[in-house]
This record gives sequence, C-alpha cells and structure tokens, in this order.
Amino acid sequence: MIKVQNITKTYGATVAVNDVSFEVGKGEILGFLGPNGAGKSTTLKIITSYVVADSGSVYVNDVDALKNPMEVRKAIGYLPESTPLYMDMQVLEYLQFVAKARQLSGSEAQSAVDRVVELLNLRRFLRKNIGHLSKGYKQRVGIAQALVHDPGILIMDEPTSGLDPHQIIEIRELIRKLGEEKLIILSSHILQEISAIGTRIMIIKDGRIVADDTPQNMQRSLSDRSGLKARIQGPEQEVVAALGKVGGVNTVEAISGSGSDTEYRLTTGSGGEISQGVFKAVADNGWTLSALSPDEHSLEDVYLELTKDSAPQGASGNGVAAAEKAQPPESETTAPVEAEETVSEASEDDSTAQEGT
Amino acid sequence: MRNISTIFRREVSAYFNSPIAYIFIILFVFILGFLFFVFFPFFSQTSPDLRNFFFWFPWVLSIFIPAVTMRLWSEERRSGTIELLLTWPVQAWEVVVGKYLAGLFVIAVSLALTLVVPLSLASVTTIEWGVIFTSYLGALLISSVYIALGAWASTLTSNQIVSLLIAIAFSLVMVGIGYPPVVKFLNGVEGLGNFIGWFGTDSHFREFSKGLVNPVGLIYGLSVTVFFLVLNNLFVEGRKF
Repeated sequence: MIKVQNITKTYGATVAVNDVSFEVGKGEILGFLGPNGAGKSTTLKIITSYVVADSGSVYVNDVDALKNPMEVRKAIGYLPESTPLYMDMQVLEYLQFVAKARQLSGSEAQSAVDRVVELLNLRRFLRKNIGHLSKGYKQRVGIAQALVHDPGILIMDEPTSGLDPHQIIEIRELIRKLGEEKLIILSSHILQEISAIGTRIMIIKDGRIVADDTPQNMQRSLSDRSGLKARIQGPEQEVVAALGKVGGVNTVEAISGSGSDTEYRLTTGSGGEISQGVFKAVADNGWTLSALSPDEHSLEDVYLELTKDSAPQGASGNGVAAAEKAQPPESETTAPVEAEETVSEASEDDSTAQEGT
Repeated sequence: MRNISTIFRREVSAYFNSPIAYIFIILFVFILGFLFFVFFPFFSQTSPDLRNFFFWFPWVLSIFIPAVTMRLWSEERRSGTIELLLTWPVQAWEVVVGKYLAGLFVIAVSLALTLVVPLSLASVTTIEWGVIFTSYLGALLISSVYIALGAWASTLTSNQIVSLLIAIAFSLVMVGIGYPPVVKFLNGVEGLGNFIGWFGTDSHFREFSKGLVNPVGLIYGLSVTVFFLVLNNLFVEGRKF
C-alpha cells in the first residue's frame, strides 16, 4: 500500500508537485494522467525515492520512504520514463546483474531471471545486446528488470510510449494480468491508455490532483449534461426555434452542415428523455430527421476540461465536482472539435514551458 | 560489500565489453614506451635509464586516467540508467566505491603491462627491483587520486567530453603544483611553493620512484582519494539530475 501525504517539490521557480496526497491499495491499477510536465514523473520519482520531496511524506507498506528508503526500494519495481537500460549488456547478463543488485542469492537469482524471461517472452534474446533489440523488446527487458524481485508494487512511467499498436496491446494485457496481484501505478499523457487498464484514474495538472475516480464514475458524472445529436433537413433558424421549445431541452446549436441538411446538438439540463419530443417536433413541422444519436460526454472531455489552462487551481478530490468547476460556461455552446484543439495546444505550450526549466 | 562487488563487476565488464579498455591500455603502454625508448634518449643523448621512465608517469596518468573515468557517471546520467541504479536497494556510496574500484582495476592492469619496459632491460642491465616495486606502488597511489578526482568530475555533467576536460584540467593542476620548476617559482614567496606543492602528486611520486616508501606519501594518496570519493558521494546524493 502506498500513502502519499502532502508532498511538494519545486525546481527553482517551478512547482513540479504541489501538496499532493493520495492512497493506493493492493489490486488497484492507478492511472496517473496529465499533460507533459504536469508533475506525474516527479511524483513517481518521489515515491521510488529517486527524488526527495521538499515537504510531505511517503509511506510504502507503512514504511517511511524518507527514513528507510532501502526497505521501500525492495518493495517496489520501477520502470522509469523512456526505459533506461545498459545498451552494451546482453539481456541475460543484464537481468542477472539486476537480480544481484536486488540482493537475490545465486539460486534465487537464477529462478527469478528464469521467471521474468518466461513472463516477458525473452528466451530467444538472452544472448543479444540490449542495444540491438527493437523498442518493444527493450521495453520488455525494462519491465523484466522491474519484476525480477517479484515486488508487490510496480511503478511504470509511460510504459507504452513509442510502441506500435500490437506492442501496446501486449503490454496492456501484461499490466492487467500483473494488476491482479500487485499494486500498479502507471502514468501516461494518453487517456485511452489509462482508461483501458486503470481501475482508478487520477488526473494531475500543474502539480495538483484535479480529479480522482474510477473511469466509470468520471464518465457518469458527466452524463447529466449529455444530450442528443440530430441531423435534420429543414430551415435552420426555424428548426432551432422549434427544438428549443421541446420540453427538457436546454440549448440547441447547429454544429455542422448548412442549408437544408444540418446537424444540431441539443443539451438537457435535467438528463430527461427528449428524443420523443424532438421526433415529434420534426414530424409536426414536416421536416426530415435523418439521424438521431445520443451525445455522451466521453472521458476525453473530462480530461480536456480538467487539463485546460483555465482550469481552476486547487480543485481536487472528487472527479465530478472538479470537472464541473472546471467547466467554463461558454463551453456548452462550443463545438467539441474546437475545444479539443485549444486544449491540446494549451497542453503543448505547457509541456514546452516545463521542459525548458 | 556484495553490492560493491556487483557494481564493480558490472563496471569492469562495461570497460572490457567495449573497445575502450583495449584502446586505452595499448595507447598507454605505447606512449610510455615511446617516451622512454625514443623521445627522452633523443634529447638527453643518453641510453635509456629507468629513472626517466618513471619521470613521465604523473603527467601521462593525469591525461590518460580521465579518459577512463569520464564515462563512470556521465554515461549513467545521459542514458538515464542512474535513475534505476539509485532506486535499487543499493546505497549511493556503494556505487561510488564500486565504480572507483573498477577504474582502479583498469589502471592497475595498464600499469602491470608497462612492466614489459623494465623486464626488457633486465637482460642488458641490473635492475633494482625494490625501486621498481616502490615506483609502481607510487604510480598506483597517484592513479587512485586521479581516478577518484575523475569519477567526481564525471558526476558534474552528462557529457563525457566535458567530464574528460574537467578531469584533465584538475589532474594537470594536481601534477603541476608539485612539479619542481613550479615549486621553485612559487617559493619566491617564502615556503609557499613547498606548501602548495605538498598537495600535488608529483613530489610524493618522486619519493616513491627513488625507492622510498614514505608514510606521508601513503597518507597523502589515501586521504586525497577519500576526499574525492566523499565529494563524489555528496554530489550523487544531493543530485540535481
């Protein structure tokens, strides 16, 4: 179990991690999500005792990581960002070295290396130089390294970045399997990644946790604000006016198309059923309804809203509350594509700013 | 102890898995042999004399050793492997000592191979093996100083070339301040040259190469080595990388 209490870390004028607290237990796969430079890696480095926090404390299995880093290191398997390995070593030689550095005795080391070689399918490459392996296999060696001592806790910083889709699926499967008996923390700046494997998502932004919930809850929290998308053939202004009068409809907005064939987005304030009303309104006016589909907020929306630069600082804890606070009023009438663009630009700016420091 | 040996073995194999160690050893033996058999006799118009052989050691070592030590920490920083190394249950000082010993091992092998020079003279002249022994002991001692210094310099940057240049600069200062002409010049101020010179490697090594095992020299070599190893450990523990 990992207990992080009020950790703060600054690099010069940059606050990398700002008063972060959370707890993770066995069997959880915690996905740490946030734009580049949000403080994910620094938090992981503090837990693994590579970096010492300016203030706050970390307990791993009730052991104080500051007072007894060696005990904590034994309990953790760690794969840092971009998988640093000794490229001049052979796979077997490297894993044996790691086993020794992990203080496994001769026979323990032998069976430990055998176990991870089997688990990660490295048998064919034992005598190969790590530097000559493909990126996917280097990643496997990195994960093997983290598992040699069979730790109860596995921490991985961006474990699938730079891999091809096949490799990503393999690694995800592996992580999911490992998660059945280990506590896993992984970080990513890609949402699909985290929502595919995580049992819990924590979104971090500017060194603060802005949301912390299960992927399902996060999605549900936004379904209240969901609505419909309708493609209607009819005069645009009249359609907007007519749909606006339908009971339960909050806003109507033409989002694409023009003239007689336009797509509209309707939002409901109450979460009530509006599709019948829409259908009736269209039929009454003699227009044609060519498509009608639910417009659910995806996790992507939560993430984009939370990691926007305009997101209020200090919103933390429950994902629902945080998400709603972060929602600027005008975004209800903004097309999703535009929102996405502004946000991804913002996060890129953010990352360059962080890297420069 | 086990951790130190694990690190030591990994570092030694890193040296000998790549061409670095071999190139280094060949160049080192070749240069010392060249200076002794060709360069020096040419200028002094005398036959090779073993005292001249050892004369060059502090200088040659001060330039060669940084080439061995430059990768010790710089490479770990560049590749990011330091983050793994220092999150395994291994103390920073154990890594520091393991790396230092690996450097010392490479230099010891190189020095041992230069024994071919005195051995090749054994048939034509009488060799004072006692003097040879103390000279090599002295060489190992000042090597130890340069290795600890170079390893520390290597923590300063992730660029091996920068680390090399810093270490060479520091090492040359270490020889230079004990070099007789420099000592003489600084003695213009009463006793200053002797005082500063004591911290240099040259004066201590010269005692050894005369066949003397001066305890002060031993203490000097060991304490400067420990000083740089402690510095090395402080820089790794208080890392900003």
